[in-house]
Amino acid sequence: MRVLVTYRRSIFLLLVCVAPVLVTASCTSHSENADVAALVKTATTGSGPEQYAAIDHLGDRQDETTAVVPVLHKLLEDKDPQVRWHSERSLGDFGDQAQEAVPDLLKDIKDEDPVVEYHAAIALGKVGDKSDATIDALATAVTNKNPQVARAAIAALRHLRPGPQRMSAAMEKALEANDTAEVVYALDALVEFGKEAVPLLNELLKRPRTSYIACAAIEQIGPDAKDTVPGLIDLLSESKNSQLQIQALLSLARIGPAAEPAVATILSVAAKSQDATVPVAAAFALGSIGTKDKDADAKLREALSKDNAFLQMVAAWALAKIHPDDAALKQQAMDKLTAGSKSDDEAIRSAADKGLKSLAPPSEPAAAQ
Amino acid sequence: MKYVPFCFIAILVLGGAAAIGQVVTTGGSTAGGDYARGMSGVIAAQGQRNLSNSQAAINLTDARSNQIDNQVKSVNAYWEKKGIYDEHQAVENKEIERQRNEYMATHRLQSLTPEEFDRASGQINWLKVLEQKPYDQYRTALDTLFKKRSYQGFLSGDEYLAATTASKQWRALLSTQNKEYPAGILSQMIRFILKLDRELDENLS
Repeated sequence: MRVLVTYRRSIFLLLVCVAPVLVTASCTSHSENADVAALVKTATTGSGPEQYAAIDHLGDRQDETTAVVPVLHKLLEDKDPQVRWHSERSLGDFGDQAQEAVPDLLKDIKDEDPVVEYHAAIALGKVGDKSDATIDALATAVTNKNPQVARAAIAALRHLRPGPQRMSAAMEKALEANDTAEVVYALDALVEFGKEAVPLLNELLKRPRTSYIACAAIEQIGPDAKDTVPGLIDLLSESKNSQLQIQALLSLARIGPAAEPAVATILSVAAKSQDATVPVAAAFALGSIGTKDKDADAKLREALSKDNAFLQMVAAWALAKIHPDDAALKQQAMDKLTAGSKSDDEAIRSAADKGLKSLAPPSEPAAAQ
Repeated sequence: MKYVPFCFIAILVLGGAAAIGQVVTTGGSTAGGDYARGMSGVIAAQGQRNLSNSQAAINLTDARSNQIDNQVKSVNAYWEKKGIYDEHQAVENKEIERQRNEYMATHRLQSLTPEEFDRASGQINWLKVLEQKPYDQYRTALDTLFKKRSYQGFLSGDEYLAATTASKQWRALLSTQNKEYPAGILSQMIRFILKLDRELDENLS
């Protein structure tokens, strides 16, 4: 009897806890259906901000795909460009559930209104259609004269990942853009390709409008971009622009030991340059490559007595990197860097601090990996 | 009946506990996303400073010279957006980064919910903890830019970069405040801003 009472009490407690949840869920479901119907009505028969807001809110109703997507799709034909772009944006929220709208989104990506084009590109990316028609349309949109549209197309292509070969022409164009944000987007996409970007990077290195950007991408990609070393050597040999030379040297530094074939050119550029920072970048590259070249070693030792504190410090750092087992060279580097860390020149102080840290043994978290 | 309030409290507590995640720090996810520019950054900056001080002898007959300026500007904006961590900080962050990547692999960053962000008006409904005075500059910048985006349909390149800079700087500040907030709260704060970043990229990132 006592067991039965306890059992009944348990059932009662369970019902008390669960019933409100069930009742609430049922009411919510009913009101949500009514809510969608009201939104659809406002989206299709309303006007102005009220209509746009209803379209936006339909994008949140991914639980009602069959009721909402055809409505949004139909609205792509509306005369009001604001209705069209709000509808594109909401369609994108449905991802691959909105595939039926792809043909019309492909029309909209060539609209007269750049905002409509922008959201058509974004929606195509979100819908995830990787057909040739979509990739070609997006690649063409990368060359759109409106930088926002171009940026949206790059974002969509990055999302769809068709590979660098299919994006090559579009990326070249985007990297030549005057809009900083567009170039940043394209550069980000290029770096994401990693090793696969090398053929494109070799082309970009040859072009005056993209060579510096290509160097920055190579620096970011690092050793995986080792097949750009011949291109970087050509660039260093040809260019007399110190900015470009410095960035090319930093790219070789980042590639590391695989950049050994560039050592002779690095020495030549450092010897000819009239910009005081070029030999510093050259010394940094030689140290990062860890070259065993005797001429390089001699030039670095020569640099220790040059009237350029920054160069002396980086040359000492490079020699310590090249000869990791030479305690005297390491001590010399530590002395120069410690002196540099007390310099009046902020750049020298900052480089000295970073140099000291890079010569120090790795800290525990890094060693644990 | 005396157990009913207890049941509801238990449900609320359990639900709340499940919502608290781990600390998620900032950082890139691309091939070179965690690359610390270190000495390279200093050398590049020194080169640019020499140029602007006209200390360097630049051969302006080089066809590339007059086309370099825009590229330098864009690349600087790129480094700025990525965040130029110094080498020491990068080493310290590596373990956190590893944990973050592991966490993100299983808890993918979601888009902002309609309760958090009203796309129709551009209104951001901030977490209370992000509404504190020290964060005014970042919050105001993002509020303004998101409302502008809602009105215009998109942001210009400069506006987009201004928004990503505000977000990056705010996350950098928060990542130094791990002694001021419990890990779960700090995680929610950073995740909220990361979700705004994702919204800025039209949830395609």
